[in-house]
Amino acid sequence: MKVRKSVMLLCNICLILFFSFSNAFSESIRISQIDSNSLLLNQKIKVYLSVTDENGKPVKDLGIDNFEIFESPENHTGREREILAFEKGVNINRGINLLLVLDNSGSMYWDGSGKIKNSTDQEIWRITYAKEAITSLLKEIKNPLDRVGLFTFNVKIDTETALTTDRVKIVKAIIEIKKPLEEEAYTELYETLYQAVNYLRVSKGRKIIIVLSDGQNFPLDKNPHFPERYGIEGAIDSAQKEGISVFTIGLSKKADRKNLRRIAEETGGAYFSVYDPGRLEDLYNMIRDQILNEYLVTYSAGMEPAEKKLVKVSFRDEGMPVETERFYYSGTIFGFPPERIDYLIFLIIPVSAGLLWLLSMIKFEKKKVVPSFSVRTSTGRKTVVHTIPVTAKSSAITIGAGGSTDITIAGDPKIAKTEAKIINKNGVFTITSTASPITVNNKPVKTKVLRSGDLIQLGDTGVVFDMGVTDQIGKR
Amino acid sequence: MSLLMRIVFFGLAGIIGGMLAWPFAEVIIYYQADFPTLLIFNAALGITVGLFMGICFGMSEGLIAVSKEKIKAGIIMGIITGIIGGLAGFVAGQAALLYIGTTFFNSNYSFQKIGIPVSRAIGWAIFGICIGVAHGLRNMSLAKVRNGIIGGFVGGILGGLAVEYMRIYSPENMFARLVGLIIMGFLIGMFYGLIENRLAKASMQLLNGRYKGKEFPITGRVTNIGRSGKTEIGINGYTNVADVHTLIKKEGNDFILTDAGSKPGTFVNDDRAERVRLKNGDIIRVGEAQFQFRKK
Repeated sequence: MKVRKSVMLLCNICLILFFSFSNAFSESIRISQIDSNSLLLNQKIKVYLSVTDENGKPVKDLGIDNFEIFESPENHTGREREILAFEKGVNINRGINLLLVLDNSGSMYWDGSGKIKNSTDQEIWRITYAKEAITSLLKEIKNPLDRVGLFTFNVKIDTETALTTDRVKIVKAIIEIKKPLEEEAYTELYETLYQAVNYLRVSKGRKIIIVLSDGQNFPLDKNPHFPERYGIEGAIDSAQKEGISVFTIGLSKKADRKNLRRIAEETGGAYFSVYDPGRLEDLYNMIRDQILNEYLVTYSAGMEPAEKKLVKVSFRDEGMPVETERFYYSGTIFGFPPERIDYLIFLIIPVSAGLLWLLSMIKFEKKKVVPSFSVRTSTGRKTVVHTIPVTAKSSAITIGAGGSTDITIAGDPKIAKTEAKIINKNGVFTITSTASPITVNNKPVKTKVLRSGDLIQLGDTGVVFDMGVTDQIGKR
Repeated sequence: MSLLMRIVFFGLAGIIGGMLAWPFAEVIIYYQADFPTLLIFNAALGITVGLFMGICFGMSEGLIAVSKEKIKAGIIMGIITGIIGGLAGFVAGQAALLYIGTTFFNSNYSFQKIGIPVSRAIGWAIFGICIGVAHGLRNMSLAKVRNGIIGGFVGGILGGLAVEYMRIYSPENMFARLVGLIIMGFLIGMFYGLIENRLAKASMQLLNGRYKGKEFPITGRVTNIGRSGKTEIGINGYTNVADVHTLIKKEGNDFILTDAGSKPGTFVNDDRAERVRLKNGDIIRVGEAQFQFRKK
């Protein structure tokens, strides 16, 4: 008994020492929002900062000299940026997003001290205290723009009630919470917290997480619900990077105060005990107070190419400097620069100039063409052109469907064996129909001196006569 | 040159525009950190790419028409519209990218992986749209602007996605942006040609001479035919053609040919014509040049 007492005493001293030590330097800072909307316009980035003491109370009356801002692409050392403007007490009246993360493990159905584990008396269950705490918190939330969501968890995230301005929905969700099965009775506190942060990423405006838990993180080995594990560090880190303050409420005397307090302090929240209802009542006002006392720092952004830029804010008051980091998106349309610039790429210019020249050549200009007949047969939408040159020797050209004609159009029953005869006399071509008049330029004729470009129509087939081009014609 | 060839021709001109713009774009991107602001950086990139694409698109019509005047006018208009389109497009595209990118960036971690390449492709698309619109505006034609939008959007999205996925699968590849620019240029040009083809309710095809087989779409309300390079259907290289010889007016669904008082006159189906309503298949003679009129 004596030994036990002295161990307890020692523990208490240690605890007191630990807390007094950490309290001395436990101001914390978060970037609750980065506004990059005017980056393209004027190269400015606005950073909303929340600075709180160890009790989660905002630190007021800080000045521009308390802050330093660094910016860098990911995995690079930050360069200090010039602070262009500093504002105090920024009031963002957009409403707050509050996500309640409620432990629903087996022990939540025990009594406060943990001695009575199988009672049917709901009055003594820890979950009942939690529900009461939430109900009283909901009463405090008077701003209709505030949105509240609820996650319950044990071995997995049990239920998710999305952020809503409808308080009744949350109350209903609380009533409907069911006692978990025996095999679900683990407490995946840290992984749930990590997922809760991830969930809140989508929401705009200020984000707060309130964790209500009775005990320790009690993970299931190889839990299929959380294939990737982030642990307490991962959870705190992600909350910090998202600028989310996590407030924690211990629901039993056995609650893991140390870690719940750590989560709260490192993320700028505060730890509460459910047995201290007076303080708990103050929770919502505290959250509001934090948000209403943010600082707005505007700085000019750097131009280093990066998909995401890391903003680091260093805050220094009296104690050790504290730092916080957060990313913002800074991608450009054409993306990353080449590793090095090889000026050989400029060789593409003569290449494309050459192509352009080639393109200007394909204008289908015919410098010299001998006289010819082009037979244009239309089958469906396609037109097949078949060109028959006129040799100087041939003085008479026959045209028709027969096999012995010079220009033969097969496969059209409407065309007679020989339709017309074309006589070439010193370069003057005269067409004469052999029987019925022939259609030239949409006009029936018996005989006609052909001009260049005349169209002889035979059934569905057109024959275009071309005198050809000599160098003299068309001299510019 | 048939109408199909014109489409291909415009597409090729777009490709060359992309090729010319690429090395300059690479150099600008390489020196990103030396630019004072993101706005100036984007403006520089937009102007550069828009300029080269504008020149090539502007030139293409003049090249097809084989008219020095049209090439010159096209280049000047191409430079102006290209710079404006490129500047507006790149800045708007960057603004959209920052907005959408930030939204994706602040979403679930799993969503980020798809979201970021997609938002960059959207940035490309907006740039493409502006280049396409500028290309269409040169012609003061609403339908061409509309097709510029379609071509620019499709080209931009495909070009942008090509760049993103090339980067994922071969990060060392230095030609990713070249491929993206080529795809974008080609599609803007092609869609521009396509609309020209679709808009043309009629066309004129040369049946003889130097440019035998060349097809001219009749798109506007008034189409001038003559030797001058400024006419819509410029026929250089044919004798007895006046500067402005004949004009075709579109009246509802009809096309009315009117001789512009030329000495040699205009003939439709071998009859001298002052004012004639054209039918499909009519043979039109302008000086020594003979066309076939086609109505769709």
